[in-house]
Amino acid sequence: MHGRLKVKTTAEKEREKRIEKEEKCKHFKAGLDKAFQMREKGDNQNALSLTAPLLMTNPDVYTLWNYRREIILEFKSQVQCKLETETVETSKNNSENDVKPKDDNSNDLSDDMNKSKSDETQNEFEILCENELELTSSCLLKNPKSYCVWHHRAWVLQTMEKPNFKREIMLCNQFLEMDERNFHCWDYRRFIHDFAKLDINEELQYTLRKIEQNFSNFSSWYYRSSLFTEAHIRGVLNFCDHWEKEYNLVENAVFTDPNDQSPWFYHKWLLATNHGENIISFAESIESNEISLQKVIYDKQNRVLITVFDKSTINCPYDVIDIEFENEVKSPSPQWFSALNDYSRIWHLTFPFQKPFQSITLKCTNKELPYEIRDSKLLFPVDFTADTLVHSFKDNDLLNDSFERKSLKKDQILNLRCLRDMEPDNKWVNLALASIDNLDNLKDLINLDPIRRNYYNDQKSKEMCINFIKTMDKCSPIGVMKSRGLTCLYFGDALIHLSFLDLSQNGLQKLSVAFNELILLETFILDENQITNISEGFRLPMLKVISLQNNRLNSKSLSTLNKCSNLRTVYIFGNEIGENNEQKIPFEVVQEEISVQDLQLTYGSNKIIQYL
Amino acid sequence: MELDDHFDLVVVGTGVTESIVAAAAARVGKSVLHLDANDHYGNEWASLSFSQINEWCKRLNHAVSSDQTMPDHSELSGEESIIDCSENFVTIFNCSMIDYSLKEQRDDDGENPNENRDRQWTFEKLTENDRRFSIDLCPRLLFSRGSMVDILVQSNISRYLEFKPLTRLLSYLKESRELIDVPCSRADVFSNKLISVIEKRILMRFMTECIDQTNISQQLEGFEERPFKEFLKSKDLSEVLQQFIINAVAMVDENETTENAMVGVNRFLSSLGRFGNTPFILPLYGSGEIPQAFCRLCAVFGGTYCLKRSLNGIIVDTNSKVTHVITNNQRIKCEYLVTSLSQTPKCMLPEKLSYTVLSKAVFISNGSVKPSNKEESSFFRLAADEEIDHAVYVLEVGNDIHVAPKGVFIVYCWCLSKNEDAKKDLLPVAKKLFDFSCSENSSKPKLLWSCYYNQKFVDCSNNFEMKIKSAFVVSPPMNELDYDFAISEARQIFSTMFPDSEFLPRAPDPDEIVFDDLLVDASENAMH
Repeated sequence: MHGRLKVKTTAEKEREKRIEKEEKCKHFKAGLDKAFQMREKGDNQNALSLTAPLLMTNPDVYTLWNYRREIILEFKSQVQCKLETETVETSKNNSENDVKPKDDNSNDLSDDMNKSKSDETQNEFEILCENELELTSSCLLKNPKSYCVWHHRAWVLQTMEKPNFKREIMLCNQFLEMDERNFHCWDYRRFIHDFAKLDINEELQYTLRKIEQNFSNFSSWYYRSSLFTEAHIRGVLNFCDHWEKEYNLVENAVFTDPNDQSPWFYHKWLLATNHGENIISFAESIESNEISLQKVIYDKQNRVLITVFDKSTINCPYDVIDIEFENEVKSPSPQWFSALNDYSRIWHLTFPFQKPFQSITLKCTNKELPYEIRDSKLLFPVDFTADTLVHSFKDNDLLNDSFERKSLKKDQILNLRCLRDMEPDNKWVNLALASIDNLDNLKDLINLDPIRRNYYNDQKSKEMCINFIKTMDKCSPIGVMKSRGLTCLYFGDALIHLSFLDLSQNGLQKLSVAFNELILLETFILDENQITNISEGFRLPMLKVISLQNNRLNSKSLSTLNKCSNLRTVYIFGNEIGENNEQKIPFEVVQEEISVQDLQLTYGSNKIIQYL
Repeated sequence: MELDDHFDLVVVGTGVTESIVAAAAARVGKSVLHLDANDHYGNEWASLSFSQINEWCKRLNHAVSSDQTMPDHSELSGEESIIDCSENFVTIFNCSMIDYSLKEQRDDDGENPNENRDRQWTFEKLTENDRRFSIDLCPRLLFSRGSMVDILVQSNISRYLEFKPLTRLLSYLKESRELIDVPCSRADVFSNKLISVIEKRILMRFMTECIDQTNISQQLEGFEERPFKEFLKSKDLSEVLQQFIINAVAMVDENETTENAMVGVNRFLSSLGRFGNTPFILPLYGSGEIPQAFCRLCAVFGGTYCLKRSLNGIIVDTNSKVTHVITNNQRIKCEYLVTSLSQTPKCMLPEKLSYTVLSKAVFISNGSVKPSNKEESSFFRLAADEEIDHAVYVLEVGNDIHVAPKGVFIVYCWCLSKNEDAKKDLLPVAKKLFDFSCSENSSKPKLLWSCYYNQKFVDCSNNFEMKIKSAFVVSPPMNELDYDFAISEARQIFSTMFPDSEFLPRAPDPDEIVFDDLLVDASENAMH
């Protein structure tokens, strides 16, 4: 019977599909080969129209996009050349006209002609770019998450003379409607915003709308936070007036779904801005290109001068000037040493002048630096009664920030506690409370989220260090942080003045470069930790005695201590270190046990004993 | 037109259940003749235009005398007898239609009449927009994971239909006598301004707990037979949240047992998050599209369709088995006969049928019962109170799903009837929702047109000791939201008739279909 329907079998369908796919593949490969040949020969005629359909089939061939960019740039330089010659011609014509009897009409006419001609050339280029934008938008429909297509579009926009930003935002709206979490598109939107300086309020409104649709959208929250920062800096609004509303918004999100991490990140950011007041310092400290000296420490006994900057630098921008010979530097200035290997916030030198002096002068020398130096010359007096002199120029923002407990309103804290009581197993609420309430939440977190226990332990260590720094006697060269559960050391730059540090009975696992900041440390006690490893970069220039008793070191560990050039004695009782060590070690290794008291008595210098 | 003389199956009535049976039979290769006495598809499940529903109301009130002619008995052989089809069972009655729309004002003063006309919906203007209306005789919502969605997807019939999610669920607050939005997605809960953050957490927690079946069954222990409200109280849910859950989620009375209520809760939750913000979807152009989609599949697989055609007689043999039907004086042999109750001869049915009566109303208004800044379709359940005897389902649709012109809304109400008087049952609902005061500044919309009617529901699914064999009577629409009852009845009829055949397997897409002639050409080419 005719016309009766029959259903194709799966095998038939698959065969059809396979043949179609093979055909497409062959076609694509041939096109690709041709495009590469053309590029090699420099034969760019029709290259744009040849590569376009290839990119429509597979938008992720970045080589083809590169090829197109080459062609467009070449075209652009041709256009510019043309324009220049035209202007030259025009001016030539004009000068000729000057000589000739004046004929205003014809002059105007030729001017107009030239103008329209150059407009036309310019137009040609804009049309080329428009076509390029059209191509990228059809490629994006094919793959809305293609890195190279979004990049190409951004490039075209920057290359164009008159880009239409409104249309770009419409495009973003369209793609974010299809997938509100397409971070490629959010990136592009931020690029457009930075490039075109869009209306901040409209953009804020947009992020809010997206968050209301689905608050599980980190891109939108992040964009919102950066818009607020920008608006505050540009004076569009005062973020302090908006903080409460934003907190309310994010509070609603975390109560609706406390397991979603995106709003918690925004919550954390809001807390860090401290009701909006710190929003600038937060942004500035990251973005500023200026470097400035935070403090200078001078140790009289060792004649060591230490400078601490607010940012890491590749070399110390200052030289020490002998005040009496300021204008004629006689001796070559002494060499600065970095606390770390190269980049460091902390630099030290051994002071070259033997004779007594009343002040130290630092002068910025013409070293090539990628920063601006705030003060080109600094002078500070030396107090000869103190053994160690600390002179602060600027507060450590990070440390200060940590000193301030994050504050919330009473009912906001009560709500958070209520949420914790309802969701005791939720790590985010515990983490938020840990930053405003107390450290006990961190202990809970280690049980709740054991995968990140090291992070929580480090956070706890940070709190411990802050507490220690807050309460320490700033004149004392002795630091004792015994059995505090430390897993690492924070804010070493606030501890530079110490010459004796006891970190025994903690949870340290590694002697890392973080300790290198303790430039003046002479006696370092690390008994009863979990140290298995001494980092290659570990280096303390003044260190004389280190006690590593009852740790988990092995025989290889000791040689890494070689970099501490003044090291005399190492106590290694209670480790897995064999007796016969073939390596040559320039310090004495003591296998016998020694108590901390004995250590203090044996190695304490006068100034230490004075404090004991 | 002369029809074939023999069909495997004759179906009378193009309602949802009949159409599913017809489609399923044709899909597995049975020959199907599908008739309907009406001039439109859908029978009691149809969607009608504005003029059609006006006519429909009028016709119900003035029973048209049957002009059917009795078939000629001379054609019958000795062993056959004929069933008279002149009087059918009536399911819809008590219809009253009220037209509230303004009458066209005669333009005597020479003022511009158009200005007034644009703002006001006169009867003439409604009639002008006749084709923009699709008014459901049987309004329905589809659960996103309900049986109708399943069957449409499974059978590939969904390709004939378009849907939109219901945009909002509402809840009627007794105290303030106002409608409020029910948050039913995570995004709704997040942006809801009426409930506190703590309430939000409690609500989300409760919902998540309900999704985890094993967990919730433990918590239900001891509450199964107790009222649902008590269970909700034990979960620290505030009064507002309790109302949300009872009326909008579980859709039960507050004294319903927890066990029964949880069935509704589970059904609701399992349909969330599939298509839109709410768990429901609505067919564009009215729910009358659904029976038509099944008819279309039936036709694609060879089914024959005749509207405005009813049976003149049914011929049964000595065993009381249906052998032929007579329509338009043509005698057609058939193996099986399926008829909708309203197109079934009275004499085929038992003397006494037990039935329940539903009250239904259709309101056309000039605005939404809860105005919003975008096109919405809304649904809510009004709990019984001093004015309403039984809980009423209310569905408001409009231009959002293309069933009414812009600015006009259709509101359907239905409930179990207490005294078989639809108007008495549902007028109190209208008074809650619409403005009857004629004042200019009421916030409620004004009624333009309304109609009330009662509908008998008879459960025919067990086929009450049918007098004749090989014939099935199909129940009219029952008081449900989705099509669960209709589908299970259709499935049951199908599997009784064709026990070895698959029920609505996936229909192929057009590109998967080859016609025999093409195949022949291809094989000939291959041979050369």
